[in-house]
Formats: sequence, C-alpha cells, structure tokens
Amino acid sequence: MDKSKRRLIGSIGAISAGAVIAPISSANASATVIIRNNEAADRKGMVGKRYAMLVDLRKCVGCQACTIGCSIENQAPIGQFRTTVKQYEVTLDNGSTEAKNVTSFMLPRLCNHCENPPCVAVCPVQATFQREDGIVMVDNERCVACAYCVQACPYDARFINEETLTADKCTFCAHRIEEGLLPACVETCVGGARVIGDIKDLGSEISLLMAKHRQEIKVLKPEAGTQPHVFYISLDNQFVSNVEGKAAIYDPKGDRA
Amino acid sequence: MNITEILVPPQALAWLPWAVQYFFYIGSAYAAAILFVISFICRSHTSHQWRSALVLVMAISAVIGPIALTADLHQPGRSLHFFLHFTPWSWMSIGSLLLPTFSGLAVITAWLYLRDDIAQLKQSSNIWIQRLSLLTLGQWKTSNKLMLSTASLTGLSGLTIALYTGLEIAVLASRPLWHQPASPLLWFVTAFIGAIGLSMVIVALMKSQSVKKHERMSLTDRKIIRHTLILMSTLAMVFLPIWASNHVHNNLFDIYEWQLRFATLFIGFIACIIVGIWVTRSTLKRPQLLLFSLVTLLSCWYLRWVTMMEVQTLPNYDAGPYPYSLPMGPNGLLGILGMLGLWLAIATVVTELLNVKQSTHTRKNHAHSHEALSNG
Ligand code: SF4
Ligand code: SF4
Repeated sequence: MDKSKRRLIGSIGAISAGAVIAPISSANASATVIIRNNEAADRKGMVGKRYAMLVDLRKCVGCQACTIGCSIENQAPIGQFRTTVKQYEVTLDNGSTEAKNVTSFMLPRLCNHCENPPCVAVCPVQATFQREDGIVMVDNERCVACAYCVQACPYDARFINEETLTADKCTFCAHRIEEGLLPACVETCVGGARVIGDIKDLGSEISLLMAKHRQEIKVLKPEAGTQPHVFYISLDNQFVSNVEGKAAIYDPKGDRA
Repeated sequence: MNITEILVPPQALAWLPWAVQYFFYIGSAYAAAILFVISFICRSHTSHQWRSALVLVMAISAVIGPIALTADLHQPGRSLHFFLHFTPWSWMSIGSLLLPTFSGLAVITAWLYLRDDIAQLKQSSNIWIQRLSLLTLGQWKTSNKLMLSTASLTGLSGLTIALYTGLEIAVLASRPLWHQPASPLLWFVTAFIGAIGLSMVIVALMKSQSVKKHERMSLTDRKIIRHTLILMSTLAMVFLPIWASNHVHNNLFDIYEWQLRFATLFIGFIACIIVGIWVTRSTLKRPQLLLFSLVTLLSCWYLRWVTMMEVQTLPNYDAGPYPYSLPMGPNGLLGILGMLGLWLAIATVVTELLNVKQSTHTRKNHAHSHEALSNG
C-alpha cells in the first residue's frame, strides 16, 4: 500500500492545537495509521492550515438561521441537513430553587472534520477524503453511494442526498473559505456563536479563543477516538456522549422512508 | 437533570432492506456450499436429490445476492468504480473481488455436479430442451476428484464471503451492536438455517414421482439437516444475548419492542430445533417441506432484519428510536417480494428441467440407493 496516502497520527498530534486541547483517548495516541485518501494533487486543499470550528453554546439562541443559511447555500434537499441545531428541554431535579425552571439547550451539529475520520477509512472507492487542511470532502462523481461512510460516522453527520443520490455532508463551505469568505452558517449566526479558522495560526481568532477557554472546551464523543475538530464551549457533560432522556416525537409524515 | 428532545431530526436508515436480502441470499449460498462439500464427501450415504438441492441453492443465491447488493447502492450504475479504484483497506472493496469469485465458482460447481443431468435432457421430446443438453460442453465425465476439488474451492471461497461480510459491518465502531465478534458469528451460524430452508424449497419443487426412489432424500441427508439445525439454532440462542448486551447506552432488554423481537427470535430458533428433530421422523411430502422451510427461512430472515435494520433505528447520539416503517415500493416490500419471486422463478425452471430428465431416463450406477427412505 502506498505509504504517502497515510500519515502517522503522531506527527499530526504535535502540531494540532485542537488535538492538545481536546480530550483524546489514550488508546489513540499510538502510531495508528490514519487513512486520508488525499494523494491526488487536487485533494490537498490549503496546505499548511488546519481548519476547525469553535461553537460557544452560551451565545446560541436556537434560531436555526445557520440551518437555513446552509440549506440555501448548499441546496440540500428539503428535510436533509448538513448542519442543524438540536433543541432539548432541560429541567433540573437537584433540589435547588431552580428545580422547576425549564431551560432550553441548543446544540448546533455538523460534521466534526475529525482528525481520525472513520468515514474516510471505510470508503471502498476512495470517494471521500480529507484534505491537508483537515476538511473532509466527498467526490460525488466517484461516490457509489454505498452509505458505508454514513454508517461509520459516530455523529450521524452524513446522509445520502435524495437528489444527487450520493453521500453528502458539511464541507466547512470550503468553496467559500477558498474565496476568503466565511461559511454560510458562520456568516448567518445571529449570536456570533460559531467561529471558524486555522488553528495552526496561533494568532487567529479561533486559536486565541481556544487558548482563552482551554479549560472549558469539549468535543462530542471524545471516547470514539475520532478527534473531532468542532469544539464546544459550555457543553454540559450530559450531552457529551449521548443523550439520555425523552425521545423526540417524530411526525410520521416526516419519515421519508 | 431531565432532558426532553424538542427538535431532533431523525436520521434516515442508510442501508435499505436490500442489505438484508443480500446477507440472506449470500449467506444461504455460502452455507449451502459448505454443506455440499460435506454431503459430497459422504456421497455414498447422501442422496442425489439433496446434493442437487444444495448446489442449486448455492448457485441461484450466489447470483441473486449480488443483484440485491447492487440495488442497495444508490448509484448502481457506478459499480465499475469498485474496480477502477480498488481500496485494499476497505472490506467492502475487498468484497468486490471476493464476491464475483464466489459467484463464479458457485455456478461452475453446480454445473459440474449437474452435468450428467443436463446431458439427459437429450432424451426430451422437446427440441429446445434437447438443445440445452449441449450445455454440458462435451461428453467428458466429471471425475470425483475434479468435483471434490472444485466444490472445496467453492466452500473456501464461501468462507471468505462469510469473513468479509461479517467484518465489513463488525469494523464499524460507531455502532457497538455491530462492532463485536458476536455479530459476524450470529450471521454465520444462521446462514446455515437459511440454506436448509431454501434447499427444502427446492426438494419440494422436485416432483416426487419423477425422482427415482434411490435418489430421494436419504437418512443421512436428514441427519445432516437435523444436526445442522440443532447446532446452529443453539449457537444462535447463545450468541444472541451476548450480542444484545453489548449496546452501551440503553439496555435493549428493557425496551418493550426489543423484548418482543428477542422473544420472536428465540421462538423461531426453538421452532428450528423442533424441525430438526422432526425431520428424521416425518415423511417429507410437500406440506411438511414447505412448513419446515417457512419456519427456517423466517427465523434466518428475521435475525438479519433485527440485527441490520432495527439496529439502524437506534440513534448514535440521541434518545430515539428513529422512526422506520417498511415502504411498499421497490426499496421495501416490492423489492423483497420481487427478489424472492426471481429466486423462485429460477428455481422452478431449473427443477422443472431436472424433473424432465428424471421422468425420461433411468440412471445407472447408483451407489447410494440402499439408504433411501420412502418419499411418500
Ligand atoms: S463527523 Fe462524521 S462525517 Fe465528519 S469527519 Fe467525523 S466521522 Fe467523518
Ligand atoms: S457512500 Fe460514497 S463516499 Fe460514502 S463510503 Fe460509499 S462510495 Fe464512499
């Protein structure tokens, strides 16, 4: 197998600020080979950078402007989302005076552009790949739509697009970033909750914010060893790995099966 | 802290019922390949009828299975990409080489085994059926040595299918229920139950009056069915609780729908054991054969349905389950019935042809007549 297709996780971990901050399971720190499928010249992206997103949950009001902004920008079919904001009702039962208070909790979700992306490794035709700048993409002209990557993602970040009939997911709006623009979701966020940037540039806004909030930053499912690169400020522990609570009520009409 | 989900979009099931069909047919094919090797080695005790049923199940299912698999791709027209971009670190890609190899070998093995029968189509009064006898590709005799080596190669190739299909899903760490040795083991042991069910369908399709007495299901055939069903159903009942207890977030045994599913599966496997005990005692007429095949096929099928489709309704992160109901169209019931219909159509045509030759010709050199049981 071509070695240049793979990089040792060790060399990445050393230069990735996110990897230092994010709680990574120790099992992953060994010299596991990571498959990125990015050997071709047109799969490199912006070499020397590493894009990541920081979501400050304290600033999210759950307005779904990002969901709409993304849908307009990326034209995902109605009912399928590259990003969305999940909403939960939370009540406290710890005996405090707040016990009866009802709070909403908002959780913007998107592809985590994981440093160790299981979705890339399983693809049987190398249609999905990770660029040098960390962005995970799908070549939808090569994709056979076997949905193997959809199953491999622990975050349900991928779907089979009903119109293109290929795997689809958030691209961090790479087409906009390359033109010096912000992703649609970041641009439309009314609370300024989403910040994107190059974490290898220690002077970037995201790097400064991450340094400042170092102690409070969490990622989803750190135990999966995927090293997500969407970081959250103010993520309650109850929401880190999985939600235990009352399930949403699904409108049967919403079932597109 | 009490959490209630307010706005959580459901994740659509990405693998459709086609995947269950693929696992069902290809599992039956590889299990039939292995059972055929055993039955051929014991050929002085097993019957021609049983061995023919096994090779037919193997060959027909090894052809039908890949069709279902291709249909599960949302871009079936791009199947060629598997070969243009071979990816040795992906089990699915490795499967794209293993699967055609197995299907090819399965058809060759069935053809080699049935060459004598095909040659006898010459006796037919119908000119078109007579011409089919040319499919033997010459007058040469298939030696036992050639037969055994080809069948063994196919059996080994079948094992590679069991391995790749199992690992393909078991490597998915995202789903703890799949990511454990119990899942490929469950699919492997229940594949034999499916193979036996389909073989009994073939035996039922063969007209009993046109099968020579000494070629009918022997006691050894029935013992093979019996031992296989009892062993594999017992193993399935051992693996199933191990499998189910590996769901880390919720205890599946606490969820009513899952309790029902497990209860149904256990009843199914116990019924398979009863069939196994019964099969050596009962006459094997059509109604019995069809009842036995119904029990075994439903058990094999439902195990796959629960372990593949129902598992996908369990969210990776949210509370769930996500809604799913079987659609009526091609990606649901119609697709399932269509594939079953195709399988039955091929099986009916082939067994009709074999019935033709058997009613027109008396075979010589039957070494295995002494154990033949009355077929009613
Ligand atoms: S979040 Fe899912 S789709 Fe995105 S990189 Fe990670 S594993 Fe892949
Ligand atoms: S759906 Fe497409 S991108 Fe995903 S694994 Fe299959 S071929 Fe690769």
